Amino acid sequence: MVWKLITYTELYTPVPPYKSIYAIGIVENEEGVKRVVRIDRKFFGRLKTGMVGEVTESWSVFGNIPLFIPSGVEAREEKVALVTGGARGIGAAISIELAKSGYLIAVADILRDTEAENTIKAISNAGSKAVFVEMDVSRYESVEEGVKKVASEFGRIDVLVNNAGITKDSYMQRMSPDMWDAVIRVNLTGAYNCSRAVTPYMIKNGGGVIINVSSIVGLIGNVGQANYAASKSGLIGLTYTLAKELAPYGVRVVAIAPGFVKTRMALAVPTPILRDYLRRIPIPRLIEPEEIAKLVRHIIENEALNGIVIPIDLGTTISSLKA
Amino acid sequence: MEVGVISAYSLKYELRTPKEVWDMIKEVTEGVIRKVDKGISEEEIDLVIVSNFSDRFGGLLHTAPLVISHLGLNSTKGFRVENACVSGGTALYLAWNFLKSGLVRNVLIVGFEKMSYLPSSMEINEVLMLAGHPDEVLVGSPFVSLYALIAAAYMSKYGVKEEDLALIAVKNHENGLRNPLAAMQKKISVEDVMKSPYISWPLKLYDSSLITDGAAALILSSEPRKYTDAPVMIRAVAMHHDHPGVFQRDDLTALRAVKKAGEEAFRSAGLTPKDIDVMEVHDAFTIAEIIVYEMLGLANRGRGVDLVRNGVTTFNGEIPVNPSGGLKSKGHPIGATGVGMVAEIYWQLRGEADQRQVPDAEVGLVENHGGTGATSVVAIFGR
Ligand SMILES: NC(=O)c1ccc[n+]([C@@H]2O[C@H](COP(=O)([O-])OP(=O)(O)OC[C@H]3O[C@@H](n4cnc5c(N)ncnc54)[C@H](O)[C@@H]3O)[C@@H](O)[C@H]2O)c1
Repeated sequence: MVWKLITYTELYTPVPPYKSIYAIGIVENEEGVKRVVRIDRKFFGRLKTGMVGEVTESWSVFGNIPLFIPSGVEAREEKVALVTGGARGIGAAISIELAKSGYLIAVADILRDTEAENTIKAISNAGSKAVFVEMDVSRYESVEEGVKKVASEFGRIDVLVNNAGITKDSYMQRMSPDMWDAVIRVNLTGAYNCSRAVTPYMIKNGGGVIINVSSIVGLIGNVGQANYAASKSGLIGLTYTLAKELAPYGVRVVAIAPGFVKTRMALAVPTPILRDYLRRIPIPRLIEPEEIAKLVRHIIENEALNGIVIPIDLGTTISSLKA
Repeated sequence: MEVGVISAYSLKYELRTPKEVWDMIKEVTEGVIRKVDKGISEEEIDLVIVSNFSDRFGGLLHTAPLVISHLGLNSTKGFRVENACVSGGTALYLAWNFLKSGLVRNVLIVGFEKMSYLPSSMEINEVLMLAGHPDEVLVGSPFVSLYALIAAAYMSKYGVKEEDLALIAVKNHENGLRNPLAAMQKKISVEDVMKSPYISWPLKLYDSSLITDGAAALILSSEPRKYTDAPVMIRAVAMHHDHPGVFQRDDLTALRAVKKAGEEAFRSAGLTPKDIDVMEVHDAFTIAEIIVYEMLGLANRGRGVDLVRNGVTTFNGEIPVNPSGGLKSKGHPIGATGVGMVAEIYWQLRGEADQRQVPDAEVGLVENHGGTGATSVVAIFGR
């Protein structure tokens, strides 16, 4: 049976019990029978009065919900991922991995150097497109401007990876207030800034995913990293809260907590400390940035993941000094 | 038989009142009795009709006996009415019929709603949504989305723009500035409306009435002149219905119940829209006020917007509509809404509306509807 859309609305105010956003339409068939239907939010921005399609029943605990599926409308255009600190290290690996699965990539980093250029090249070699956005995540105006640039370049933002991060290690008693502030500002405030700036775009195109790159240190603490550990724990609280606040709009928020990953950040740790660390964990090696990237891709694809912290740590969290 | 309004009382509507519901009810009950020009005693109240949409908005049920006991437990009878957003209009309709039949002489109407009783607007919208058709509830269509369906159909049929709808919000907020009872006294511009976020495209935050706490009360009498030399007489009260589901209607852009109730009210009052000096109508969303103009015969189909654009329905126009600020600026505490609309017309026709007084108002009209217009009550009042 062919149904024609005669009026519709995109609902941005979620109501219980569904607590999600979707479009609602009235459709009519050839016999003049009209019914009210739900339309998936993935069609936001592409509905038009007069469109034809079919109506299917979608089972839910609350009853069978009539769903209108417009024919000839592709469910989604190309998707866009914004990766902060995407120039090198884990961020670069994530950018390349997502490029391979068809994402357009916005590489956001504080400055454009040769490593950034290499990452951008690798993205186009993977068959996708990249824009570089110069952005200091710790400054809201800079983030807002960068996000606007991405939206105007690519038209939408589906995924945000809050990956930019720094360390300024020292024992707390020797840690200056500046060291403390700098790390909190980039690692934690940066994630708030970026999440806040991209959320309206995600809601407008019917949802998205925010992934916060926390750390194992945010779960168990680490000597000499009070600022860093606090920032990474803070990201976990941010993840839990945004996961609750944004779920109705189709935005999922997940944190990952890597152990030591083979990037310049980990390699800056004094070798004796790294060696001692490896002795204590069940699988004694460093994690490859590509392994983190694969997890990120899985989180994006698996729509059941929300409001959790996923350790990816070769078993660090189950190890103890004596083990 | 003559039926008149002999007293009206209202709390200032608030977005979030610190008052308990029972205190709100007591306050308006005592206030409306105190305000009767020549006085009325509690035992003269024969009937109490309480208008309240949901116990989720205040946590009280069975409120008529509470009021009756507060009045001294005489032989007064009472009950609650619920007819979605037209619970107040329905209370008026019932009171008027009881009085006309001679069964009672004086009726007290108490309308109240404390919507902030629920912690979030999400939950509030869920409760309101239940006043739709079951198919609409199943799909998960809160009221704003149903009015948005109507607005979208109306806009595409008549070439009306979002900026046009915004004019209603701007007018009603302008009016609300003159009303100390209004919950949101804030001047807004068309740009403010246009900049406000979409809540259900094409409707934005500023196209929507307010989630409000409030209470109002009226006393109606079949011997009005015994209690005041300046009663406001009820010339007609009509109630009509439409299919509850927007999808069930032949014309998605019409509000049949409003049209029918308006026609009947004008017919039985022997008046035409031209005779009305002031109106309070149900602007739950901006689109509703525009369609109500057309349904009441003030404008041709698709031309409702012209009335506000040309200043006909603004405060200084020929027929000021919603001088109180309407549901948009004064607020929409569901059970109190229709009661408060009648109170406004009562003050207007008695010349007691202070800064918002429409000069020489002699005939007033109230249009109060529920759901997306499944029930409408239109009442006409004169001096
Ligand atoms: N390497 C590890 O062992 C490890 C372990 C757990 C978590 N992490 C986290 O993973 C993320 C990536 O780390 P990495 O190892 O790839 O480090 P990295 O130093 O190689 O990369 C970090 C990137 O962030 C960018 N950046 C720094 N400050 C910025 C700012 N203010 N605005 C924008 N970009 C900024 C840098 O320019 C750099 O490109 C960090 O958040 C880090 O805390 C790393």
